[in-house]
Amino acid sequence: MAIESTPYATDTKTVVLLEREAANLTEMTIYRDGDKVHINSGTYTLIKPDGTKLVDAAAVTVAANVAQYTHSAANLDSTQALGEGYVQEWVLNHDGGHPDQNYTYRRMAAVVRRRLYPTVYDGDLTAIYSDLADLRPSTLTSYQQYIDDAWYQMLRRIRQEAGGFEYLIMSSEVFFDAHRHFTLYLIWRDFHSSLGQSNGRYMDLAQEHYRLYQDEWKRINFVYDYDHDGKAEDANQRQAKQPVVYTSSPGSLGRFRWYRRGRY
Amino acid sequence: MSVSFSQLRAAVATQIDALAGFTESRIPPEYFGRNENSVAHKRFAVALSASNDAGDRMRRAVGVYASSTVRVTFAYRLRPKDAYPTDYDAALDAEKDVINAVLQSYASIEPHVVIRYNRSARDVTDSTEYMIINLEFTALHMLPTT
Repeated sequence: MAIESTPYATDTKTVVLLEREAANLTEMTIYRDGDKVHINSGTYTLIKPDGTKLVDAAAVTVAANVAQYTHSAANLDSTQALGEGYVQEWVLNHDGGHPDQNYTYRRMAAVVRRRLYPTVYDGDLTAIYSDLADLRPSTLTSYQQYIDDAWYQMLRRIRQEAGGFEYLIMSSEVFFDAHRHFTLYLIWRDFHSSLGQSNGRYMDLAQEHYRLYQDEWKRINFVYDYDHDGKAEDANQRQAKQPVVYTSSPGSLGRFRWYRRGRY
Repeated sequence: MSVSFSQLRAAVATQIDALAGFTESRIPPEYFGRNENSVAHKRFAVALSASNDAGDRMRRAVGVYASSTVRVTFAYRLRPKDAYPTDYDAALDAEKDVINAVLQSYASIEPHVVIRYNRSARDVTDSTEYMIINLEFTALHMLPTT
């Protein structure tokens, strides 16, 4: 039977985190044409960094078209290696293809001690824009979707740009300002997009908050758990999110060059 | 019983102020657009734009029977995702509430005031953030001359 190649989308926003020594519910949702794809059945496998399987083709449960598997605390016991390199493999039989066809979806996972949680909520947005609650679209009861999207974008940026792992950051509060500005940028930009004009207050606010977000992002430094032992290495020595890179060589009168001339 | 211009303006403002969410502007009606965005929703201003003799006999002891044009301006916020038709219709409903409020009896505030509705004019700001509604009424009242 030929494999059908429709590009179904998964709900994977960032690396899946599994907390060690705790029960973890992990889920997979498949989307197509703006809706969840009906999942009939499936299996779940978790492959460890060394290639062995921690969970091997366990049957998933399906609730409201979401495939689920629950790791027990014993399954993720203290002998499991912490960190990156785990791979989740979901083999799902769902609507859309041949009835006998199984689709295999893979995504990266990490076993961690603790997750990093955001610190921004709706009240932090209305605290600086008192009329924001009144501007909320009638289809929404909160600005949570913007808060979440900003958070996921920041998590990906931490990994891509800064080379760090969010779950090793001990001080979640350092992201507050950047997260709030980025959320407000997404909200005002979305508002602007609805008005059909090239400029205006919403656009001005969006641009202002994007600049402020970029400024805050550069300034972030945090307490980091380098060796993943659950403790900060040195709480008084904060880690800059972004390394300082010097793009020029030392000047001709630099100390090192002068020393060499002096010797020779 | 006579009613001065300021008493008439205040009486109309009191009627509108009783509506849920409506607050009176701190900026004169002629400069209504200077209200800050954050507080402009359901802000209103009442102006007495013109007054005329209503044609009755003038007696100093009784007063002048006058006809005053009362202009009510208020702003209604249009949410960017619901500007039209949801909030546009909501603004029209608010307009109806304001008209009803202005036409209510003034017996408990200023007796002997009779008001009739003339017309409405509506505009949406360039930024599409607000609908500005102008209402015009004619008030018949006895202007005091003593």
